[in-house]
Amino acid sequence: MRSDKKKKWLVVRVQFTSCEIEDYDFFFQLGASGVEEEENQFKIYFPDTDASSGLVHKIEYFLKSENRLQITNPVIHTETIIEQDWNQDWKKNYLPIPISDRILIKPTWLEAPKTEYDVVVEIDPAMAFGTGTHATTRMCLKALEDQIHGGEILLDVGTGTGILSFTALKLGARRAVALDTDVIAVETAQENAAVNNVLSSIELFAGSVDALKPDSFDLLVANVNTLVVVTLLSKIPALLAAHGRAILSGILQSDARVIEDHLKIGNWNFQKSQMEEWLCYIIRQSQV
Amino acid sequence: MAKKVISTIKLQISAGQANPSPPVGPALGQHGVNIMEFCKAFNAKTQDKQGLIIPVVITVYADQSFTFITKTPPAAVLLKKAAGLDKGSGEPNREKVGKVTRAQVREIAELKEPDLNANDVENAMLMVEGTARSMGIIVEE
Repeated sequence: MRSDKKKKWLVVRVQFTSCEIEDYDFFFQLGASGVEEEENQFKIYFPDTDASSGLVHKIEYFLKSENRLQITNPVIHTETIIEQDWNQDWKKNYLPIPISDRILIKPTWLEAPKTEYDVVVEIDPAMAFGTGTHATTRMCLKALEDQIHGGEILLDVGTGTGILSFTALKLGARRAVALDTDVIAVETAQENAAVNNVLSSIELFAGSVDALKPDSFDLLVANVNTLVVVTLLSKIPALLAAHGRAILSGILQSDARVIEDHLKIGNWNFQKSQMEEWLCYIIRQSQV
Repeated sequence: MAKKVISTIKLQISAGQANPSPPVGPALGQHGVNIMEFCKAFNAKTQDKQGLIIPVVITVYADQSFTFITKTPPAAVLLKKAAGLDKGSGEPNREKVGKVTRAQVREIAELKEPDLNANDVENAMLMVEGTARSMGIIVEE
């Protein structure tokens, strides 16, 4: 179930006639999650509204006392915004995506087109990653189609919406363990698992691979980023069964050397594919 | 034909840490941009700069596709980090609050060079030194 308590943000909007501000570091030291710059104003976002009056006072003092900002006629407004699905507008244009002759990804809210696809996966991305539109997801989906022959146990690291696990299960995998460090992603994946009727064959949890039993998985898929992949590489041998393989993506072409150096050190054989500026590796341990 | 630009969004957010929360979510969501796709690309491109605040300029097109460029962190932020300071001086002419070495200035100038209107590193160093002076940070030989 999705958490009922919605997060709130305090938005402090500073309007001015002119201002030389380039460095917003002060606001980040106060706990800001980011700044949006516009003409004649900037907006500072704080993830929690409990201390709003103190924050505004500190910001007023900062703007007055920092001569180098050369700010003229500053006016401060505040508002509170509540967490919502910011992707709503984008979702209006999220249409069914054919991945291959067999696999179709479609939004949960659209009727399935009358087609001959064997595997139709339904996704409501909410605020999680994995819609089938991104090159890395598409490459992982194709790699799963190549690597799944039936009966496999899959580990899905950084599951996001759950798209890769659901596809694997519908392609014939026996069971999937899917994890993400983001609680919202796990909640989203749980809801999508129900829509795809795979709840009985998937185990979803918020956390890292350190909590898992060794030697358990036939196939691992991780569509994350280079840093996470590099960290994961040293842990994969303990997680995979002897014949196991891993599909790794979320890697920019410019990081190929870093990844391939680590693959050599770890004695991995690999196949690589590329779509746009992104790479996907299928790796298995070299036979000694 | 070039794609029609519908908006240019300027944000400053933590390297490698973009997520759909504000400011990213509302700023991009209102233009129909796929927020998670931006987060993935931004985090991949800035993962080696963890701990720094990165200015990013996102161009949104009429078909809701986007491109973005990241800039180097402001010189003031890099100078404060190098000098171990929380903030610059309120009165830089009278109150000096810290020191950096010329080697540190060179390092910052080299990092900032792509975003500065400087012909070479020496000129970029002069600009960084100017920022240091305006913050009450002394540059040591």
